Amino acid sequence: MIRAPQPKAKSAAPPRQEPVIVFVIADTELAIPAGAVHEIRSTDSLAGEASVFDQPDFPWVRHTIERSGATQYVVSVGTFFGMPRSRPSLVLVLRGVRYALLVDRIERMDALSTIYALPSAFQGDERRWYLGLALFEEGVVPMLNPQGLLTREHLERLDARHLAGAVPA
Amino acid sequence: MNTITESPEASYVLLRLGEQRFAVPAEAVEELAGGSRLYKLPHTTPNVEGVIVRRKRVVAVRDIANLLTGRPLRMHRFYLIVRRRYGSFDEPEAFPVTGDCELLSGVIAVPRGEQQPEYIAGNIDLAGEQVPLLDLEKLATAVDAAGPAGRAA
Repeated sequence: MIRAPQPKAKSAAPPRQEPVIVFVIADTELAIPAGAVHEIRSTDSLAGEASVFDQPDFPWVRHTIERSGATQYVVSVGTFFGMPRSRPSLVLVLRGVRYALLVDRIERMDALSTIYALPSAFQGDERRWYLGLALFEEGVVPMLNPQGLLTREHLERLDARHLAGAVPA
Repeated sequence: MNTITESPEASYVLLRLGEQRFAVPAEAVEELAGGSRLYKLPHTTPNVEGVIVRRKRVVAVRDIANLLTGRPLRMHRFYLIVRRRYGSFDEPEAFPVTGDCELLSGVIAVPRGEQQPEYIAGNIDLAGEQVPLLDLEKLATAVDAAGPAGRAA
């Protein structure tokens, strides 16, 4: 009996690896998808472009930068999360959102195929802040949601304050 | 959960928080884990301490000692990993405990007293000691409502 040739079973495609940037704030590691980051700048290199933003109810925004005719708010991630004071030296300029992230340093680039869902026990704003949790050999690292840190309401209030008058640096 | 009326002689896991003992239904318990590293992350949920990794799963750690005993546990401790119900699915959750856990079978739980909070489903009599039997879902709700938040924005 002659059998028709069987189609070869497709070999399982390896899981897609997503490049991520792991950064540090006050000894805490956080990660962000590399594709969400447009540019990484030192705070020194931004000094000439940044304007001071000093509003007591937004202690986590101290500067704005103008990019392509739009104002971006530089968010101190450590202050936003209530972390101990640290020495930020880098700004992650993000794609598609109106804020940039002030961080201490980049720890490493890595690649992930799996991001674990945030356990359901977490019920607060963190469900918006994180895409999930990354499991590295070194441990668990929260994966920031690049679009989840500030809400539309945050931005509307920031815009209102900004229009009321930011002081040039 | 209606542990008492549905299964009066069920099995229970006896856990210790400091000097006090509590019981939980054995069917809700996955394991007692020791030596897991606690990872903290910025969040705003009260009394959730962080996460541990068990068998390639990320498990939230919820502090129940503050509510049940009025004080946090010491640093060196174990995690009692239980199944929690979230909507239509179960998820593991870890409770820090002092370490000594026992399995009790064939004991009968009696209804809770009028003065006891709702998260106490009943009591188990152990040689004259009334050990509260915890209703995990109501306990988690009470813990959520009770304590201070973690690191907040």
